[in-house]
Amino acid sequence: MSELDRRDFLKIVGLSAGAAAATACKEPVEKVIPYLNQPEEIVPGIPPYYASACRECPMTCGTHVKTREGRPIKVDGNPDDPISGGALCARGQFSLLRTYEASRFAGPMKRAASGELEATSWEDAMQTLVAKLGENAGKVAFLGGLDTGTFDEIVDAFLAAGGSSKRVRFEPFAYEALRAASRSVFGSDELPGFDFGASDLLVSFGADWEETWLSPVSQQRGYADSRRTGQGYSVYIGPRLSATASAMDEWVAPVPGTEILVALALASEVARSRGVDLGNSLSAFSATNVASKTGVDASAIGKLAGRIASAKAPLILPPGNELQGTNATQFAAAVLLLNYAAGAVGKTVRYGSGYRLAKLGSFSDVKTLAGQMRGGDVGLLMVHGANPVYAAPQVEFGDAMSSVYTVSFSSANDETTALADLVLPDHTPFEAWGDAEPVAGVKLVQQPTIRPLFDTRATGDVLLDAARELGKAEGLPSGSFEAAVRGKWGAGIDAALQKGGSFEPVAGSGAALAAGAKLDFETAKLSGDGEYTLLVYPSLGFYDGRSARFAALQELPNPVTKLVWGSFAEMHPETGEKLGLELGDVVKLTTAAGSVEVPVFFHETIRKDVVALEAGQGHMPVDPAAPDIYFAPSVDPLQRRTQIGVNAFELLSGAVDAKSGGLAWLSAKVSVEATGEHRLMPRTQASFDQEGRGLAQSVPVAAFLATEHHDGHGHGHGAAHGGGHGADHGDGHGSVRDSMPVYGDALHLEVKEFDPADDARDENYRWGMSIDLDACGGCNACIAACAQENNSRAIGETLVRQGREMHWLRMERYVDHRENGQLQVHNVPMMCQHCGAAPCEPVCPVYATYHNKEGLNVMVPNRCIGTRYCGNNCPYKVRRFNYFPYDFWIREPENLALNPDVMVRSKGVMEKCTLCVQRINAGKDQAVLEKRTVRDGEVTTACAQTCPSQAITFGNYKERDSRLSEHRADKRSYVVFHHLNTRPGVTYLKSVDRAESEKA
Amino acid sequence: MRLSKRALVATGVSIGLLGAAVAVAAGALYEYTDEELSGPEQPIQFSHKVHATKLAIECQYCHTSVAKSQSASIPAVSVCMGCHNYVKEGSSPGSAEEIAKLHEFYNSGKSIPWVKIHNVPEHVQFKHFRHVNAGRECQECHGPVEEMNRVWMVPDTVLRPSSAFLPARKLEMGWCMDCHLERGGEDDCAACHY
Repeated sequence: MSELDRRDFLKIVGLSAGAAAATACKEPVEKVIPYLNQPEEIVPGIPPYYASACRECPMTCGTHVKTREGRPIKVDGNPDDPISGGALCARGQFSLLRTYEASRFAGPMKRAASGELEATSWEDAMQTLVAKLGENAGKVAFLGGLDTGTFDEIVDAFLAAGGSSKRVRFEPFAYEALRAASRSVFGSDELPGFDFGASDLLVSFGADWEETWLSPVSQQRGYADSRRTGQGYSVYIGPRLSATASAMDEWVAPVPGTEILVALALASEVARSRGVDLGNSLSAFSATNVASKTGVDASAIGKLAGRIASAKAPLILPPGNELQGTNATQFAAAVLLLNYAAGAVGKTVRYGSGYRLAKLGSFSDVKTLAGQMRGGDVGLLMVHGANPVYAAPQVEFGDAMSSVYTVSFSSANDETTALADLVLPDHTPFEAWGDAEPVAGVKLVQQPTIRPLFDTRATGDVLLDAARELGKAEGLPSGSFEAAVRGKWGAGIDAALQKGGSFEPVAGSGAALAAGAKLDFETAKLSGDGEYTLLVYPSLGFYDGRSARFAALQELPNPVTKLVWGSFAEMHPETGEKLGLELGDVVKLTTAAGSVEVPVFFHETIRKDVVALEAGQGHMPVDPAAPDIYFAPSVDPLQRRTQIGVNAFELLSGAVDAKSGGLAWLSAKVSVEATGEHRLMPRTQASFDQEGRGLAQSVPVAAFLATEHHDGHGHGHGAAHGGGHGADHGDGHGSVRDSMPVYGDALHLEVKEFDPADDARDENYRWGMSIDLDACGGCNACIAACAQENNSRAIGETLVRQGREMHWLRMERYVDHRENGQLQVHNVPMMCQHCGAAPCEPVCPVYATYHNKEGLNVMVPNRCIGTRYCGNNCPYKVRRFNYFPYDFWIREPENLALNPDVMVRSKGVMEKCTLCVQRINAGKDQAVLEKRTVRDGEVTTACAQTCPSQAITFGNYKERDSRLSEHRADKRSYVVFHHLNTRPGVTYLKSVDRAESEKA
Repeated sequence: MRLSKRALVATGVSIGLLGAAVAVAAGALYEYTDEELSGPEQPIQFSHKVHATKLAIECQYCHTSVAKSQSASIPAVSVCMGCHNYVKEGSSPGSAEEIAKLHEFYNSGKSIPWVKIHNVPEHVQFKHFRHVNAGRECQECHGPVEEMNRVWMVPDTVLRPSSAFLPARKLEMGWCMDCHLERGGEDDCAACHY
C-alpha cells in the first residue's frame, strides 16, 4: 500500500477549501476625488519642490520643501544657500511637525468672563484688538523673537504709527556678551562671521557650535571641510565633554568659572610670541599664574598657545551660552583679544559677514519691559514668537502680564499664551509668506507650501488691518503682507522664489582694536551654598525649549547621555559614588533660586565638581490629547504625567552679566540631595564601552598622513586601535580583524574579502553606503531625516525604556581611554548594514527579509508574521519591531506629514533601514525612462542628504569610480564586525585621531 | 495505527470541505455581484464607450499623467468642463441631465466623488508610468474600458499553474506576478513593497 505523504495531504486539504472559496475579501468602497481645477505645476504622484526658509531658529537656513498634492512632507536644505549648503539640522528636519500639530489653535481665542480662553471669530477678535489698541495708544509694547525681514519692518512701522517704540526682540540665545565685547574691543555692534572652513585650528570655549550656537549646520560643514585630508586640530574648553566636544580632538576642563583665565593666559602667551600689541597688559595672566586657579597645567596652556601661535588660520570661539557667567562680556573680550593676538581677525574672524543680531534685545530688556508693564507704562502687550514666561522665570513675566492686556500671536499654546487675554494665531512658517536676511547679502524668501490648516491669519496682515482700522497706517504698506513681501523683492520675486532668495554673502574684513579700550577681567561669580557647580546647557533637540512640545524631538536621544523624554542630572560616576547614588536615583537639586527633582545619570565626560542639566524641558502639558503612552511615567503607567522633565532656567537666580545684560547661565552653585525615589532610565544606549569589539575605529594622524602621502609605504591599513581595552595597535601589515580581539571561535572562520559581485546578482548595482567617522559629529540630523522620510514613529518613554524605540538609524557614542588619560569619544551612526551574508535572512520562516539582486537586505513588512527571529539574529541590533499599532496613534492632521511613498507599518511586523529603497526605485525609474543606468550621486538617502558634514555617502559599489567605491578602497575603510563574515554593504572610514600624537 | 490511503484522502477532503463551508458562508459576499459586474453607480453616469470609442478620444487626453507619474490621475473637473462648457447635450438619451450634474458640481466648487473601481491592495507601490512605458496597453489590466458604459472590473478567467489553476483575483499580487513572471518583469519584492 502506498503511503500518502504530508505534501499530498496538504494539497488535498488546500484544494478542497480553495475550490469553494476562490475569491478574496470584498473591498470597502473607496472614493477617488480629482482636483476641481488642477494647478498647473501639480501632477498627482510627482512631488514638486518649493524653495523656502526654515524658521526653527533665528539663523534661517534656506530649504527645499518637498510636497505631495499640496502638502509638504519633507524638508531638505537648499544647496544654493550658503548657510544651509543643502543640509539641515535635526530640528529643521522636524520643522514640519509645527504645522501638522494636532493641538494647534483652531482659530482666534479670547479670554471669557469665566477666565478661560474660548474660541471666537476673527471679526470679534479684530474688533477687540482695535479697541484695545485705541485705549492704549502710545502704551503698546511688542515682544518678539529675532526677525530680519519685512515682518520686522512692519512691526517697527506699526509701533511708530501708533506712537510707541517699545519693542523687545527677545531670544534666550541672544549672544549679548559677544555683541558687547565686540563693541568694546573692536567698536562693532554686529557679530563677526566665524569661518570654520578656513581654519586649521579650532578652539571653542564652551561654544556648542554643533548643537545650537549660531548656525550649527554651516559650522559643521565648514569644520568637516577643513579636516577632510587629516588636517586641522581642535580643542574644546569647558567643564563637560558635550556633543560638540566629542567632534573635537582634545578636551580641556578648567575649574568652572575660570575659563576666562585660560583665554587670557593664551592671549598673553600668543601676543608675546607673535609680538602683537593688545593695548592691554595681560602679563598678570601668565600660564604659570593661572595654572593653580584653573587647574590646567601651565605646560598644557603653553602647548596650546604654541599651537595657536603657529597655526596658519586659527579660530577661537567665544564662550557659548553654557559658559556665559557674570563676567561673560569680559570673557568674550578676552577671546576676541586672543583671536586678535593670533592673527585670526580678518582671516577666520571677519566683521561684516556675521549674523545680523545687532537689534536683538537682552535678558535685561525683558526685565525692563516687565517693570514697565507693572508700572503702567505699557498697557497692551503683543507677544509673537517669544515665550518669556517659560524662558525667563526669574522675571516673573506672568505676574507682570496680569497688569496689562496681552495679545499673543502664537499658533499653539505655550506658557505665555496660556496667560494671554487674546490669541490671534499666526500661520506656521509652512503656511505663511516671509523673508529674512540672516547674514548681510544672504536674502531668503519664505513661501507657503500648504493652505492654512486652521482658521489662522498672518500676523503681518493682522497688524496692517488693525492699523488701517485705527487710521494710524502712515508708513505702512497699503496692500497685504504678502504683497509687502513681494513688493520688497520687486521684479526679482519670481527668480527669488525659484532659487530661494538671493545669495551674495559678503566676505567681511578684519577690524582694528578700538583705541583706548582698557579692559578689566575677573572670573565668573558663582552664587549659592551648594558644593557643585550647576551647568545648564542648551539643548540640541529643543533649542531654547521651543521644540520640546514634539514627541519626535523628545524621542531624539540626547547626543551625550542617550536619554529621552525627561530631564536628568548628569554627573561624574565618582561624584555619584561619593554621594552614594545609583543610576536613576532621584535627587533634589537646590540652588539659591529654587529646586527641582530629577533622576541622576553618570558619565565620565564631565568634571567631578559639576552637575549638568539640559535646558528646554519642563514645559506645561501643551498636548493633553496626546496618546496616554507619551506621558506614561516610568513608575505608574496609568498615571498621566503632567509635564516632561524640569525647567532648568528655574534654577538660575537671574544674575546677569552687568556689561551686556545677558543672563548668567554659569552662575549657580547647586547642592545635591537624594530623595530616596528611584526611576528606571529611558536610554537608547546602555554602555559607552566598546568592550573591545572595534565598532568605532580610528587611525593615528601620523600613520594616516604617512600612508596618505607615501602610498604603498608599509602595508596600507593604519593600525586599528578602536578597541579600548586590549586594543592592539597593529603591526603595520595586519588586517582590521587581526587587531581586534574576537570572542569564541570566530577567528577560525575564513573571512571572505568583500566583493560586490558576490553579493549582488544584478549586473549594474550593488547599493551601499559609507560613513566617514572622521567627519561625523553625532548631531542626530540623520536620525531626524530618516524618521521624517520613512514614517518612523515616536512611541513614548515607557516603550523606549523597554528597548522598543523605532528609529532605523541610531547614533552610538563610545568613549575610549587613551594612554595619556585623555578620553576619545566616537560617534558611530548605526543602521542596517545590508550584509552580503546577512544573519537575519536565513532565520525568517516566511521569506519576509531576503537579499535582493542589487545587494539590498530587503524587509517586506506586509509579509512579516512577527517571529522576531531576524531581530534576535542581527549582530548589529538594527531591526525594529512594532509592538503596538503605532499607526493608530497618529492623530489628524499629523497623518498629512506621512510620506506616501513609504508604507506605514502596523502592529506585529518588523521594520528597518531600507537604504531609502523608495528613492533608489525613483532613481531607477528615471534612469529606465532615459535608457541608462543610475548615475553616481543621482540617488541619495535621507540621512546622507541632510548630513551637515557630509559624512554619509550613498552609492553603487559596482560602479568602479563611484565615490562609494573610492571609500571602500580607502586606507581608512573597515566594516563593523568583519570577523562575523557578514560582508556588510556599509563601509566605515576610521576617524583620524589627531590627539594621538600628543602622547609622546 | 496506520490509516489507509483512502482514509487519509477522505479525512483531507472532509477537512477541506469543512473549511470551504466556512469560507462559502462568509464568501457569499465575496463573489462578484451583478452590480459589480456592471459597475457600481457613479455620481455622474459617465460613459467611456461614448468618449473613447464613439468620439475616439485617447485615454491620455484625460488621464494625462499615466506615462510620467505613478498615478494615472482622474481628470480634474476643469478638464471635463473644457469640452462640456460647450457640449451641453450629448447624443445618447439622458446625457443632458448628466452633463447638467457636471456643471452643478463645477459651479458649486465641488469635485466629483467617483467610486474607485481599480483598487490596488494596501502596502503596494504601483507605478503606472513604468507599465505604460514598457508598452503595456491600458486594457491589459483594466479590461475593455472603452466599451463600457459604466466601468467595472473585468475578472480574470485565465487559469495559470502558478495560482493552482484557479483564476487569480484581479490586481492582487498573484495576478501581477503571473504577468511579471511570464514576461520577465521585475520579480523583486522591493520593487513594489516598501
